[in-house]
Amino acid sequence: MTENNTILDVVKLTKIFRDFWRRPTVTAVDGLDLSIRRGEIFGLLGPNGSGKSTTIKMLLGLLHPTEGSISILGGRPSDVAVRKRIGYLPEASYLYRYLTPRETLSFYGRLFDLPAAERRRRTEELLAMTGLESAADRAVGEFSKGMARRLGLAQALLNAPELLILDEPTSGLDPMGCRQVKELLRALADQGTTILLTSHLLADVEHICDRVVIMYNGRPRAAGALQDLLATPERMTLDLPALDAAATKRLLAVLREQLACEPELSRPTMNLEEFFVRVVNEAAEDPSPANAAGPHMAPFLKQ
Amino acid sequence: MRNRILGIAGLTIRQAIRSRFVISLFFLLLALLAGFALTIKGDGTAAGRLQMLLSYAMGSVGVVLGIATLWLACGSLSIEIENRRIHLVVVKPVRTIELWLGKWLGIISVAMLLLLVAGLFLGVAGHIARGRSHPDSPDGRALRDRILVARQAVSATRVGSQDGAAHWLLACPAAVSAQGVATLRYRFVAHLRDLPPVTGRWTVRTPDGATLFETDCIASMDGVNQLDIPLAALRSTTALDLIFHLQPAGEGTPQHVTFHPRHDVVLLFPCGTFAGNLMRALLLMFCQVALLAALGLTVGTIFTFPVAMFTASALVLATLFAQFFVFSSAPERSHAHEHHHHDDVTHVTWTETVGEHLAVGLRFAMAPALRYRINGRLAAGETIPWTEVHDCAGILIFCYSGLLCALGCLMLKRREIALPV
Ligand SMILES: Nc1ncnc2c1ncn2[C@@H]1O[C@H](COP(=O)(O)OP(=O)(O)O)[C@@H](O)[C@H]1O
Ligand SMILES: [Mg+2]
Repeated sequence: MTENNTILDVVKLTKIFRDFWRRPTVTAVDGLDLSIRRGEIFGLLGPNGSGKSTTIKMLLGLLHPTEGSISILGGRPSDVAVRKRIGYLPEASYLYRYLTPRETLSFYGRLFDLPAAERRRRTEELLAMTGLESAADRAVGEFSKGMARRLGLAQALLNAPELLILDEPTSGLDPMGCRQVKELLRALADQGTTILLTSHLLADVEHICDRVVIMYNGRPRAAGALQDLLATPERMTLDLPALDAAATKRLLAVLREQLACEPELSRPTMNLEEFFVRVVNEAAEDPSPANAAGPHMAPFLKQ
Repeated sequence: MRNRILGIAGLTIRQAIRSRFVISLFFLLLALLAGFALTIKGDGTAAGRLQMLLSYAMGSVGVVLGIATLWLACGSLSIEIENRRIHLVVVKPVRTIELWLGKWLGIISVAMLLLLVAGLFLGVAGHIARGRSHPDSPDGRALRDRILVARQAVSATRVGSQDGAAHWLLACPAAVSAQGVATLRYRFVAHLRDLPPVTGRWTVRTPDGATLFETDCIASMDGVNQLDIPLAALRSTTALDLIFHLQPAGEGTPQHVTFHPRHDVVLLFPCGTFAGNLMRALLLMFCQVALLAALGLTVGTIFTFPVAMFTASALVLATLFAQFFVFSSAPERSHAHEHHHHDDVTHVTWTETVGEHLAVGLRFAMAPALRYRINGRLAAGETIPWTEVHDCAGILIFCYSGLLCALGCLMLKRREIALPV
């Protein structure tokens, strides 16, 4: 590859929104530099209104940058050949309300120029993967936010994209859905799909992002590999099965000798998400539509 | 490319159907046509009734479908840009021209479907009218020979008058069938109203003087007169001599008549069926509607729906009114104007000049598109030739809509889709 494994290269990206009289109203993105490598999961983090969606829209050619340059998959955002290789999940459901999920996927499949048989196969596989089979012939207009989100994700995967751009992929999903999406993204990345995602829910992205940029008011404030950013070299944790009282006392005594300060003892708890997933999994002997979306991936994506 | 265009067209059609746009319009058209069919009396004859039904129906179907198409087209892109559904389409490998063409195809297919409904209704109405009237009654003959037929008009050339008789020459069309009648149409200039009818004698001769047909007639001084000439009588010749002798009948009847200078003496030869003519009329209307669809789509690429609808309608109305404007400022009218106000010095302000130039420009630019008239012709049993349908499709669809398509694509490409206007 001539792109020497850089899938996306953004230099000094700036977007200034203007009003009708061309007066600047807000600088949504301000001098953002990004470089994303093949196969990594890159997180664009930041609070609401920090310019994440604006950045993504510029990467896709939906907005034109005020300044700066974008090289995406070795081309410009407006290139048709580039758009063939991208999957996009927008921040909200922009699906056609009169179509059913099956028709929706078939329609977007046509836009990718997939042959009819291939289109049908991928549609069915994606419906199974996102757990929408039972709702496949209902109008999308009646869907809950989470269901629409799943369908949005399915349409983003239709072309087995090299670069997957997801704007808040977990918003509106229940914890099961969240977890499934995260597992899916991890699996896709392991196969070489590059993923750019945004989120303001940090817990959602913490476990899956390789690298992140944290934006605030349109400016990158911190950037780097998640391990490096979150590393706290001055502290460590010891993880071991629970000991009886005497053994604990002896251990603490040893530690006290080594440390200047008093060691702190606590018992780890599950986080609520893990607990929730466990409860639901136990409760659901027969799989409900919500968790029928197994961890299995659509076969056409496994290549 | 084809896959994507058809996909977008299919989506547009589906949306029109599932939003109940098509079904509402279907019933509206049906109600309109049925309303006309049930209420129109005309002059009391079956022929008069059908003629009026055809002319009203074609006119109102054109207007209703025109507005509906413009509405659909104006909203098609602008609403999707506003509610951002377009985002998921334009990030796919879709070219702007594919998007525009797909939308356009979808909209004109919907219009075509509704036109077919109207056409079917009118075809059936014609069929029923024919079935109901006795074929040998005058009414049945009028229906058959003057309305449920496609007739080609051949203008006669005035060659002067001899011995108080007016005289014309006319070339017959190549293939004249032996069945049916040709209709001679003529009109006088009436200086007074309510003049009594005149009697006269029409003679039809070959150029070498052999009389083919001769009949006395009673003609009204105002309005169009029609005279049927059996085609069997005209069969053997390629050119005709037409002669009119006025036969003054006593006191109070005109001693001379003047033929109307702007309405030629015309002989109408049957050359096709009503069904074929109806189809061609619908095709002309389809071309016009397709142009409206193109206009709406292109305007919708830069404006929000209400603004687009307003702008497009204003453009259409301006185009239509530009014609009247130009007529009213034509020299003979302004002279008449001065005549009434001797003392007024007619000032032409610069705004008037600019307005006039704009109107003239618009009229000039749109003249080729406005040339195709359907309404009276179908109802009068006048043929709409295929060549005209070709020309109309070429001009309205390829030239005008093509230009609008190019403009729309350019604007779509240049604008930031994610920015509301
Ligand atoms: N079309 C627009 N016109 C004007 N301002 C906008 C537009 N879109 C976004 N903004 C502004 O840009 C800033 C960044 O928005 P956005 O990128 O949507 O943030 P987020 O990080 O929550 O996705 C916000 O202040 C928002 O108000
Ligand atoms: Mg956002």
